[in-house]
Amino acid sequence: MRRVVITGIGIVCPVGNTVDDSWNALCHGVSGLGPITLFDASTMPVRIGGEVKNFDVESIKNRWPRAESLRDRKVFLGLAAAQEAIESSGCPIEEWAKVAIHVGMSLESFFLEDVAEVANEEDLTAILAARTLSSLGGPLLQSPLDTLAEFLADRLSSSIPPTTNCSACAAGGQSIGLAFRQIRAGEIDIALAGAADSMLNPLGLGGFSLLKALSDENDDPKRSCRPFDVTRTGTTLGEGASFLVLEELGRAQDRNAKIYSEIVGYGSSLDSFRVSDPDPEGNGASLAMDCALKDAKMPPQAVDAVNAHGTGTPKNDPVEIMAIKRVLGKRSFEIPIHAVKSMTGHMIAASGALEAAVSVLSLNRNLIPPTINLAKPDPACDLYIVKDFAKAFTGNTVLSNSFGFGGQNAALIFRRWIP
Amino acid sequence: MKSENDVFITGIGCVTPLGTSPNVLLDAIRAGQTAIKPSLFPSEIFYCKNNARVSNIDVESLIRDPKSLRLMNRDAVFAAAAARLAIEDAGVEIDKNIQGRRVGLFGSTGLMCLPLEEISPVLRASLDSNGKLDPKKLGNEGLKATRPVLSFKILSNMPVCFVSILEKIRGPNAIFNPWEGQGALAIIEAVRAISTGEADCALAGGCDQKANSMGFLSLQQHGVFDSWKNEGTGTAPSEGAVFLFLESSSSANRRKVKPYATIKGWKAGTIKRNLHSVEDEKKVLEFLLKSSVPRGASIGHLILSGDNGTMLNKLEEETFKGFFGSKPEIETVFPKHHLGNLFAAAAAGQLAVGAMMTRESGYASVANCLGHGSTTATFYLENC
Repeated sequence: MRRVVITGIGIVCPVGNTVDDSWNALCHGVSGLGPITLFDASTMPVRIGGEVKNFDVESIKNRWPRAESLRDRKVFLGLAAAQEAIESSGCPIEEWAKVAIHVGMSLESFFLEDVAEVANEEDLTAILAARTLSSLGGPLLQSPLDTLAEFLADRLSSSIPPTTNCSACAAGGQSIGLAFRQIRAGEIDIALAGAADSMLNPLGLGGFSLLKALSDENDDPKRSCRPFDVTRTGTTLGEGASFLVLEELGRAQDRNAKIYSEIVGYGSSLDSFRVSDPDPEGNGASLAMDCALKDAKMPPQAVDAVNAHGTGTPKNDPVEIMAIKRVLGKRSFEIPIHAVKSMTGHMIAASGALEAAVSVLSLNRNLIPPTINLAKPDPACDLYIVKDFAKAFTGNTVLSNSFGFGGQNAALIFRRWIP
Repeated sequence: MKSENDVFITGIGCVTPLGTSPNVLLDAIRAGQTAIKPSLFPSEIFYCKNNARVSNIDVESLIRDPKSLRLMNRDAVFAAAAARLAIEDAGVEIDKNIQGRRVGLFGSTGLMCLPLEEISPVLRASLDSNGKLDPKKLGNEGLKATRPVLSFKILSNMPVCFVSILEKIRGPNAIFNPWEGQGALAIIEAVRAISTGEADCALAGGCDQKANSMGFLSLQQHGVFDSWKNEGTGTAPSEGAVFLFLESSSSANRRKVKPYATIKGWKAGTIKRNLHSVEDEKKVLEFLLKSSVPRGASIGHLILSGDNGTMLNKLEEETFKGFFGSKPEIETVFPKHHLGNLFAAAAAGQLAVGAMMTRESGYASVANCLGHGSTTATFYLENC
């Protein structure tokens, strides 16, 4: 069976705009959460989030000339992370024509300010149409989810069909998993897979606020997201993007590529419970982990760490811990578990891709970033959660979980690369 | 690609402007009936004046849990109904004769149609004195004008997630967005999951709703109606959902069901529309045909994807007829001429028509999925 390795990484997230900056911040327990500044959220019930800081959209537009007309923030975040992943792989640009591009996204950006201008009209759609279609090149009301994937495919002149995966918070993990499967099956040799997202806009933040899924601790944003803490009150939205370059082992070795880690397993499942809540028994979550282990042909004892979905919502965290215990048994009490959302917030579609990248870096750089804000561990989350400080890590495998809104789950397994 | 383990189509569920019965659908296509009519909403501003709507069908009665309806958008209702019909058609009872964890779910959803009935009150409550969106008023007053269910109606994965919840499907899954080519890739992922043994069976298909004014607005903005402007003809937006129940040959044989067809070959590729190179596009289509259809195959039916005589339509027909020869015994159909364009659900529709024709005649079908977006795919269906 063909083996698949990671040869490139790109990260743009609330704690850093490159892999190195993000990794350093995560390992030092830096919180990227703060008051929202991207729009006036002062009257919103939730006014905090994990914004990507000092993000220079203009430089992205300069590097990607056709991006000038775009105005969807998550596409720019995605382009920046993809660019870093491509460059870090060291793969010459002429070799990208056969790359498969898999992009995770969640909510389409709909530019409400354009719709609002005609909101008082009786026939809203007709007026809206007249306004937006009256002149050539009028503002696009919405940014289709495939914008980033199509953009990357076009720029890299790839002849492999790109996918746009909209499986909510599982989209990033699924995109990487599907790319892994394609390479392992011999359909392709190289893939760029990851996700980008930004819900930090009125529609995204407003919608999630209404669902009561977010922490409203507006006065203390850095502590607002507390996975596995008994006082947690909800997650905090973040934004960002992350991409991995996946490559068939022989191909990577032939070109002397730097190999960060190997990817050995992927599993996906559905809760089939409710659109709003995780299955309280954690059956969907454990099924995804089970499938990933079977896919990797690994026993539970071989898992050395878990990069948890760890949202900090009252419902998610104990369910995830229950599922980890069910799948890993005794092993679950012996290994470190951590949740980077405590620092980045929940990057929705991009969260699984970021956490996959962090898992790869943990294996490559021998450290596990901490879960911050964990002062009073929830008795229902009684596993070894890495807290406060990064932990040295010499294990060989990391399991990375992503559980999506709507009940979609993904689990990935990465293994240390030993030449 | 060729599957090592045969993947059968054992169930078809469709909610289309031509009805919910696969047989009625096929008869209507053969009889030349079309559901495409002048749009009922004001369409002066749009290049396209026609659409195809699902009407006179009590779709909601097909939903297993009517309480879910308040959370569901129109495309989610279509998806849940089509999925139910596909499962019934396959004769499967999930968690009785097939375990839910061994059933995959691979779907595609379309470009979001903003639910204006939900959004308008929010926006109206959020305007400043100049009629501009005021974020402060949005927080203070706008959010109070809507309901928490808004999120369930705008997240792109929700229509397919409702299918999983209502049908107790718990296996491998993925949801793609937003055009026909992504729908084809969802079907390919389902075939892959079954052929590698990850699942015993899977629902694969899509849903969309573009036969309304917001849909028209999105489509026109994204250039889908350009052929109406440039060539005076083009696609007619439609709405509905199509799901296929796909099953491993061993599972189907164990249940002793008669499949519609087996998906024997497939290949997806990309067409660079911005190159405007007919020759390049033709080469891609020929490559997909060579990669998916075995030499010497007895083809009975071509299910082509172009619609209403556009340049793309002509290119596709010319390429396929050039490849297979203009044999009178090969029946060629264009489902979109009859159903309108189902976009995210169109690929499943193409395969559904091909599968029905193959089961009826015993001859193989080639179904092509070529729509907006860069991805195109060809499937080869054989009699079982």
